[in-house]
Amino acid sequence: MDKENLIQIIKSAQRKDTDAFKQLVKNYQTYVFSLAFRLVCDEEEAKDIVQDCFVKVWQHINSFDFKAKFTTWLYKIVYNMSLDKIKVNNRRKAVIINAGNISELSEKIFSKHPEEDQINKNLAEIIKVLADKLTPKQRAVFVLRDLQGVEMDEISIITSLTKGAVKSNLYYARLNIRTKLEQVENIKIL
Amino acid sequence: MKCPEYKKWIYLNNIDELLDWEKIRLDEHLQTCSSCRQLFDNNETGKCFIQKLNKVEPLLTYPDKLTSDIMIAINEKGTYADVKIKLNMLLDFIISYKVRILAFSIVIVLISLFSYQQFHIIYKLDRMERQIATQSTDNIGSVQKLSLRNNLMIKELVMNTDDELIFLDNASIDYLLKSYKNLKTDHDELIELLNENMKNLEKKLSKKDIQKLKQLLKEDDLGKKLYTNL
Repeated sequence: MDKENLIQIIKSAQRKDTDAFKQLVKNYQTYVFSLAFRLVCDEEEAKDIVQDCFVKVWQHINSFDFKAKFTTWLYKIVYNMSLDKIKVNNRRKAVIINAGNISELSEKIFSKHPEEDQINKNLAEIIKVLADKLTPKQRAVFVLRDLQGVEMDEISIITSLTKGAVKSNLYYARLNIRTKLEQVENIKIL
Repeated sequence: MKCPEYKKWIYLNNIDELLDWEKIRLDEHLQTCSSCRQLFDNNETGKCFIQKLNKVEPLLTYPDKLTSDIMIAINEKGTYADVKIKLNMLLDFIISYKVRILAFSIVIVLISLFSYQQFHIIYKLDRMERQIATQSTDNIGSVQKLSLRNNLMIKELVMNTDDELIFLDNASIDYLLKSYKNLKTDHDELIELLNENMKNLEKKLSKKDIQKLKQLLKEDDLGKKLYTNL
């Protein structure tokens, strides 16, 4: 979807055109799901976040003023919703992490023909293991920068952190993850 | 520089915080130090792992169903949400900067109008008072009539006394008028009566004024002036 087209669709959605909004949903639900999944590491919860996120977008689309990128605005909503979920999950359940599985899981996930029905499960497991000891913000910054490939400036807007704080969180997140990966013997990068 | 500092650099390199010359120095050190080389290689392996992980996209199953679920949720919550949005918009509008300026301007205009109205009323009252003071005394009640006459006549009387205003009370002026009417031709008797009531007059007039008054009575000017004013 090119920029002009996107602007037109958003403007139509702001006039409560449901068809235009449906186009937005179709276009961005995969991105939103991807970020939500990587943050909460659960397919169903990620889908719930996607649904709630778009309902919120529909309710507040008039407040989008085209100053920031639409994806940044969208990611900010997903980030806030996911962060709440992560905090609740951290309180509710103690996840049993087995770092030794990473090697095995990575083999499956990085293979040329991964089992489609297992991708989400394996990916979620790997991220859970890697991000186990990270704070919700470190986890979010790591996911946004290293897994989603979002630029530092955008991360700063999405997370409402200063650029310095983003870098600091990223530094500790990477340090933690690298330390964890060092513990895994024979990790294979195919 | 020692290994712990190079190790810091290795971690800083992970977040692209090393300057070019620092990278060169780190490379030089890595060729000579196996411990730092090991750490660097591990970091690079981790970096590659994360880069690979980045390429694995989570699979969104049944995207069409998710789209339709979202649209249903929007329609269900739409009615309530629309009302809420409109209320929020109204609230935003009310507290917006422009509306606050407008409200402030309206308040200022209202205060100005009110002040002008008050000033206008006061001005009109003042003008009415002036008109009453200058107009014919025929339409005014007896007590006021005396009071006004009092002012007018005494103004005349004191014109020759340093142009100061001298006010006699009603009783005094009434007394003067009666005396003059009853004793039109006998000024001496009037002077006598004035002398009898001197104590009353002394409260209001200076000695100089009283002497002037007596002089006017003697010359019959007071009679003429009173007659004209009446």
